Amino acid sequence: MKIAIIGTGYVGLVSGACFSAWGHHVVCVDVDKTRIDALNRGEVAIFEPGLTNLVESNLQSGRLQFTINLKSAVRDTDIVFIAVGTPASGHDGDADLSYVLKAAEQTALALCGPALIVTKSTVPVGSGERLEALMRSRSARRRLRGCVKSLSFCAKVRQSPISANQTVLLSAVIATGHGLCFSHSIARSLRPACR
Amino acid sequence: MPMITTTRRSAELIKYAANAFLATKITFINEMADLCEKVGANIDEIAIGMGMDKRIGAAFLNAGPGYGGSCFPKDTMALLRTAQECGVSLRLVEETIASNTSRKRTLGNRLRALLGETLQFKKIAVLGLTFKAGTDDMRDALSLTLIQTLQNAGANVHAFDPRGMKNAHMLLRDVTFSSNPYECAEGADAIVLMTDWQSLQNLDFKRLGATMKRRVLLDLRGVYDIDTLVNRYGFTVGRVGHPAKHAPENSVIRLKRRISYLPPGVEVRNGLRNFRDPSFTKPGTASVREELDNE
Ligand SMILES: NC(=O)c1ccc[n+]([C@@H]2O[C@H](COP(=O)([O-])OP(=O)(O)OC[C@H]3O[C@@H](n4cnc5c(N)ncnc54)[C@H](O)[C@@H]3O)[C@@H](O)[C@H]2O)c1
Repeated sequence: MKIAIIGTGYVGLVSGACFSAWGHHVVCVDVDKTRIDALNRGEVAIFEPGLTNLVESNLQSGRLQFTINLKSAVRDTDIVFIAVGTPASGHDGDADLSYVLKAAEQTALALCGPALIVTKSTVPVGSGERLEALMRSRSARRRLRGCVKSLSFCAKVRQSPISANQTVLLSAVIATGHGLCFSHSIARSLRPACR
Repeated sequence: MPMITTTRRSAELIKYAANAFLATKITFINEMADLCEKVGANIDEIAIGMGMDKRIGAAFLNAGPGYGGSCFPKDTMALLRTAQECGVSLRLVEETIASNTSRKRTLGNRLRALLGETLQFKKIAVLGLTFKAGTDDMRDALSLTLIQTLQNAGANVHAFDPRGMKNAHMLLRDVTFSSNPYECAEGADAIVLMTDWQSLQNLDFKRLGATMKRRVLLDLRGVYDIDTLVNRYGFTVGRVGHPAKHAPENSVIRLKRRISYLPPGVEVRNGLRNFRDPSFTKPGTASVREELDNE
């Protein structure tokens, strides 16, 4: 399974490293070039127990890549995880969706085939609909199957069982250690994608 | 591994509801801790007792300085905004945010009360800066608020964190960073334990006490045994959810202990009137000196 992860912060990098350790081909994207260059040298700027080793070994195996080029990363991927930040905006405390919207738009423009889009970022009720509408309007081929909302806590590297055979769906569940939610309609369309 | 299939809207709300519930649970136990300090109960036992009830569960019942970090503060706010926009009031979440905000802003008062005097020119060693152990994430860490409060009160802040100092450096000003906890505490008037890193849970208090100006510890994570530190190492210890316990030979502290027994209607004076904590500004006339004379 080819996976693209947009946003290589605390959540995105840990998820990406875990998925690659499970045998998937993962490309992690970020707009921060310094961060990506460092990661390509195996330098992990954030601290999470066990993460550096996981990144190093999967970089070497070629299953984990880092890039600032979102277009090439998502072009022919099976799954896109959006894991950019949703900080509090201004003074009123609304979640700032601008990074998520930007990532979704760029993804829609770049996708060449059907893919599963998972919102890993924490987003307010109704954001999935907003994202889907935005992506449909931007998608050249109008072939988006839909969006999935993944509910997840920061995947802890040390808790991750490693198995190459797991589907992404299963991997994601294990990575969370908590629940995972998919919308019915999407879960149905997801099944073939996972086989 | 349990998994549910649900609608997209429900999935989005589950994440916020779960985070807001956890923030509320933390805030609840923190408020119980405040009550424990006043009634002489032990918050650790309260938490264990409550946690044994399976309907409640033991997780997130560790009383402490409040919640901070990259998720709870922003997610509780965002949930509140969603509710406000559709005309629903989430009063528990509102109160949780308010209670936690006031808690983090008054952490300095706890230290002032423990020291028994203002923080001006005091050297304070803050051990642990990240919002939780095991990360270098400094976003919305409570240490940022605490340090700002201490600096506003004129204190000279020194800090140590096993992993967070690089990020902390970018967010803090006028803080002296140390390479280890012992260097950090040299000549300090007090230590504040902010984050329960494993390496900060087994500190050598004999070594710390030997170089500190005053042996005072504010344990905001409930890590250390109060009696051991007081009786064996001569420390004055404030620990969340326990009445403060003072080192026997510390006279300034003895004053303070007396004050906590002042009857209602008695005002505290003589260098102690700078307390902003409302519990220390009871109306009345008797001064500390008079209280001591009565002793
Ligand atoms: N931190 C946690 O423990 C946690 C847990 C669960 C969920 N979440 C949620 O996950 C999301 C990410 O959190 P985080 O802590 O990893 O954030 P983070 O700030 O560490 O990482 C976000 C990254 O996204 C990058 N980015 C922004 N816009 C981009 C774009 N258009 N293309 C590519 N990269 C882009 C940023 O440069 C940054 O590196 C948030 O919504 C958060 O609420 C966080």
